[in-house]
Amino acid sequence: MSKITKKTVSEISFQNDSVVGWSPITFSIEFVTRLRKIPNISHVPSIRTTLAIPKFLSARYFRMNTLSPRDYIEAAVFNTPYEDQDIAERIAHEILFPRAKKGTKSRKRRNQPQKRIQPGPPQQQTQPQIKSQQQQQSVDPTQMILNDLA
Amino acid sequence: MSEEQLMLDYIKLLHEKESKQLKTEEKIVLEGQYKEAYNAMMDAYNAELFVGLIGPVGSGKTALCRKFANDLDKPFNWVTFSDLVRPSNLIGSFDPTLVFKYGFSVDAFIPGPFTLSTLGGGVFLANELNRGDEYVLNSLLDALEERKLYIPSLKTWYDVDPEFYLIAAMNPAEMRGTRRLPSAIKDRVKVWIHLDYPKKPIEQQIIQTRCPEYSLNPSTIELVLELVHQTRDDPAVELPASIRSSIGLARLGSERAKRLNKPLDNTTLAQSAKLVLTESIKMKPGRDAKKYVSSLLKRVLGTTG
Repeated sequence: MSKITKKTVSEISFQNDSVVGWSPITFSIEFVTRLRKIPNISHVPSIRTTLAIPKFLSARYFRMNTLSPRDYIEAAVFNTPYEDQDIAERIAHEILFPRAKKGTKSRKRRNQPQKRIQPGPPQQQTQPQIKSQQQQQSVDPTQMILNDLA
Repeated sequence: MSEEQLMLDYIKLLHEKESKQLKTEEKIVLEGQYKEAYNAMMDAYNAELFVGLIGPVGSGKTALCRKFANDLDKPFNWVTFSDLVRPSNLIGSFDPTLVFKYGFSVDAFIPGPFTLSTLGGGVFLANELNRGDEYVLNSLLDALEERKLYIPSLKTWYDVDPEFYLIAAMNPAEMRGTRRLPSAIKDRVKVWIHLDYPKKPIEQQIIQTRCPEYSLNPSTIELVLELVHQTRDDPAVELPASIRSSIGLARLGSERAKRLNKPLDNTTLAQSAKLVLTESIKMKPGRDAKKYVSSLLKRVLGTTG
């Protein structure tokens, strides 16, 4: 299967689509591909989802005569079952704004004077959570099953 | 009154009350989350994608669906799903008395609401869809995907009208009585919109729209909303007060004040709140609703009535 190039993307984009680098079709394919790779989602998206996202975006374009990143994110979220909508929103964000992943600061924000964070219990609570997420990722799934059986 | 007269009165009453106007103007405040949901529903409809609305009891899902169907100006049918709903309730069944006359033919068949919508090109609201049995839900599949409806009693396939549209409304999966939706249905309902209880300013407008006969002042509505919203924020409450409870409380309080010929004060509101809230909320195991409502009234209104 030939990969969709940037050139094809610009050919099939809508005129007032402010999203750079993605068309409804390429975004949909990328979104569904990434979502399928997420383990333990309640519903693995099918080809119907891949078709539904550009359809939804086209309908919105014909109603509003414009498309923005927010519309793309909404299309991705609405076309995902409710249980997985948080993950869908994160993935859509990552596709549209690859440099603005969670945890990284944009240059604009970095230059702004930062608020002094008061040391207190909330901060203490967040640290172990992050640590445990990292631990979860590093644990071998086979080992986890074996532990459960034991 | 003789039995014959009573019978005649019944017949007269039924004739008089027969509803000629099935469409009713839905009083809905189309702002905030409702406006966003409505727009998404419109996009989904134009994209020929079926919609699923998810939200807690009394968050305005059904009202929004009715408004949407009314605006589309299409025939509107609905079924509220439960364990007792069978495929025949959706598809239709033979009328035994007509079968004697016509045999097992189309003439003796009474179509169900789903058949009416699919063949007539209407909007079908599958209310509380995730309370339905998987066997029943699967009877919808062919019409949703293949655009063909099989009526087993007639042993015939029918073409689904291109204008047919389905909206599913359901409670979140963690609520009691709900089931996990089958993947096949989940994959065919493509647009999932979540509705929560509205924010205070929107709910204030809803109360004003639903209680036009009472001139409620904003401070009274604010108190009503404070009581209701506290039940929504409290983790001890399993099922909080819905929008219906807010409207009910505002109406009952106003009516009580009217009867007592005095302005709606905190005492009257507390007396009404006891009646409305105690049964409309559900506490988590080990908690008592009466005690909770009393402490809530004391906290918000300064009196338990």
